[in-house]
Amino acid sequence: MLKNGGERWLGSALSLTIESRSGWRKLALGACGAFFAVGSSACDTPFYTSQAFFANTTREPVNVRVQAFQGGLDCARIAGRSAELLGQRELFEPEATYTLGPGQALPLDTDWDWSPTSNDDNRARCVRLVQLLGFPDQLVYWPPDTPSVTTESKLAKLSSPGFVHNSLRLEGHGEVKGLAHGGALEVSALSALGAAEQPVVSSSVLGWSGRPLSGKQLLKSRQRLPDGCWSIALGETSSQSFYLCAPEWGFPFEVGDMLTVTAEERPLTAPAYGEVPSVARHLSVQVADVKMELWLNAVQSQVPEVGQVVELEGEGRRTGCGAYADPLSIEVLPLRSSLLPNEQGKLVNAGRLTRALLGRADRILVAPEICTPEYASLGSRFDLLIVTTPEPSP
Amino acid sequence: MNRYLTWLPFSLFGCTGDAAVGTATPDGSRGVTQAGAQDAAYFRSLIDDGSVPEPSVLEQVGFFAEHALDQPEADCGEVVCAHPSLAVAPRFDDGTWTMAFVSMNSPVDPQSRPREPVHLVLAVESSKAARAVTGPGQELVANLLAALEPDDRLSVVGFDELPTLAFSAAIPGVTDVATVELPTTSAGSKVDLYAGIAAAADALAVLPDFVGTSRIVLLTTGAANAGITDPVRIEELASAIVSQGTPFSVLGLGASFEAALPRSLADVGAGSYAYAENGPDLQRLLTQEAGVRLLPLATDVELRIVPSPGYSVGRMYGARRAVVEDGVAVLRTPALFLGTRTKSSDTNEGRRGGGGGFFVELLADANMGRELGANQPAFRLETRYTSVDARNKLSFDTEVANDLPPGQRPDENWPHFSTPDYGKAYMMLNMYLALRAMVDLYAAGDCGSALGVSFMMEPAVAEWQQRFSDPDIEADGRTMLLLRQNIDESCRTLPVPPSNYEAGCFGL
Repeated sequence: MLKNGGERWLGSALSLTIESRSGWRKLALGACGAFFAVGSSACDTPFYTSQAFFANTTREPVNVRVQAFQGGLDCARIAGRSAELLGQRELFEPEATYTLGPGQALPLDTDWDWSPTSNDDNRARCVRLVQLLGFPDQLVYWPPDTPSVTTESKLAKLSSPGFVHNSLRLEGHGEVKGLAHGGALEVSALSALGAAEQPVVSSSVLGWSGRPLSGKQLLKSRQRLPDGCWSIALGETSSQSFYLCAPEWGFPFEVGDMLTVTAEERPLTAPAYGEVPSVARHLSVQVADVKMELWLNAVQSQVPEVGQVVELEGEGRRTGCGAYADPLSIEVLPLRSSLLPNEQGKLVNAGRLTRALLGRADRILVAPEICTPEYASLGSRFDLLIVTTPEPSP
Repeated sequence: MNRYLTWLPFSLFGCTGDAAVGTATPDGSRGVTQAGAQDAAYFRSLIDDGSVPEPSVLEQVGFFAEHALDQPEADCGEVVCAHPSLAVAPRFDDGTWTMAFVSMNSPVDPQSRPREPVHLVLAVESSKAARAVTGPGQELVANLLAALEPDDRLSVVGFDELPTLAFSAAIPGVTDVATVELPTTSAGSKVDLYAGIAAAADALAVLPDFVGTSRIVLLTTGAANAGITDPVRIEELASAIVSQGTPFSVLGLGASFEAALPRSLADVGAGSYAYAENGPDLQRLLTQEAGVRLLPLATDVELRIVPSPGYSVGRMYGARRAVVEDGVAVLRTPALFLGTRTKSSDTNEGRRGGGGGFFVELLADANMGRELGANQPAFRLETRYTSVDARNKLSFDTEVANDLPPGQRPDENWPHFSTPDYGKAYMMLNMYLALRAMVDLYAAGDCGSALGVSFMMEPAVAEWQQRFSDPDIEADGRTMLLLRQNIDESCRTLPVPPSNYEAGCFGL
């Protein structure tokens, strides 16, 4: 964070060039005092306070481009896995380019936009992509509990072990230059061409599209779509179809049944800065003592039938949009057991057969804003189908 | 009339709309090309305008389709023939570039088959962004209906958050659609793309007694933010529809067009893929669509490139849906159709050569190569499909040998081709890789390396042209030099040789 006596400075000694889609605009900022400070502190107070720095320790100026992650990031949970979870250049936002003179430092945990809200926002400040001509892109991560270090000027404080510990440094001179970094940072070089590992591409087994008519509705028709999902028409006079992806046992109703249908969306908790609002969807269909309930993108507190939720670390996957999620094990109380993603179970108890299928069940650690809502916000969410019917006759 | 056969889709329109692919050769073989974009016109236009395009703009299937590729005769005795080949070239570093290539063609003459009526279902997104292009829809639908044959049928589905069947089975020359209006939508409403496609599938089922073929044409802005939004699930629905014999065309709409999902749908769709910038563009594309005839040839098509001892599968190009399974490169596609035009709307604009195919890099184990020696198999092509005519499953295996030991560079600084008459495909790939590397490196902020690629490739292009004087490669070379100029003007930096460059060294 760029601070001075608890307030943020608008002036720094850097020459800052911000590249935007519309072109280049250059903000040449003067030395401390040449502009003005928000606050009343003098220049002898800390110049930069930051958890992570880039430092140019060479004798020549260097252009460095810094990109920030776009979206939500569970900073505390990605330690040791930053390259695996974030090794895609496309996840980072358009760059700001800085010209650093010999010996100068650049704090990495600021977004430099000085917008009124940015001081309080929850944007992921634990990772940056650093680009230097002639070097592979450097993914720089630091755990959120990394102690901050300060400098008294625009210059790198190489005499301070803390600064060295928290910095990525360009070293050497002339044609012989190299990068070094301190132990507080997790630094990974991205391939110049091509991306990191391919995403795991798998479709969600549960879902629905269209809008089911709510209330008492006649089941007019049900037929399979070419992909195996159901096309279901409800309504007595003018019917309206909706489309349900579920296994054969997941819609245990017959044409002519008068169904009680409820379809609703329930907002999840307010999204953090940079996250896309997400909603849970709930579909309930019942006739007599046959009932199906489908929850999509739900959280534990919304589903009374769900008990313990356990995160299975180290078995995560990356989605096509760049999100990263660890799988969850979900306890389904009517089954008296837990299910893994895409696992189903059943239990007969007191004359009732309960079947359940857990679809997607993710603890989302990386939530790029370009993703669909299911993966554009952090947290633990799942898809769950529960069907209860009378116990079948032997 | 032009004839062309497409692989996955037949597809062929670019942003400019009305050019066509004619790949029939004098011997009667018809080349099979990939679905999706059929040119790189937008990429080239950005370069012509002085820009350095985003990497995503360079569409490899479209780029390849701009090139005319000769193929061996389709004399395998079946409806679709596959032709494997191999090239071995020195890399720009000390390594060896070993690349397998598979192209396909067919001996079937569509004129020998009777035209069957088609039930065309138009699925129209009715969001505000889409409506800015489609308008209220009466004129669009009326013109499309008028362009169909009398025994064809037209159904129209509109969709935003909800799908609506606007009308079913309209008869050309009989049904009055002047009063039909596509569903309106409120500002900010979401789009349930899955429901729109599913409703189109439902509309096909409304005419169970219809005798003929079917086709779905999807008009979309690429938005999918309601209902089932999982792109894989949406693709699976489109793929399943195609597997049942229904080609699936995708026309993109709107100023905020999001290409990713439509492009994926087009890959499986066995139909056209194009972008309509405005109403007249869309009208022209739909009229063309009405004039296209698609003849199903094969279903459940699978190509497998099995590396021989001493090789393993590396990168793959030309087929986004290709996967590596247990060390084997596999490309599956639900159906192949033979496409012909029945209207005289073809033009010769663009560089539509109808080329394309499936490239698989083979990583050679040089140590093993010393033990194996020369003239050993490099890979086996396994071709599987079900012939629509014969309704039987067909299977062909073809082995391709490398005259050189695995990993050995050719003596001459020139590629070694297993079928020298058809080596252009590899140079086409090399040009794609050069352009791709330049825009990738530029986007990564490495202007020097981006420039370096062009300087490394320039002599290779010159050497190729000296030997073959090919107009497609010449045009690619011009594009590369213009791109270099644009990068140079943007960065003003010295070129440096890039590391990790994917292409082979042709003629240095």
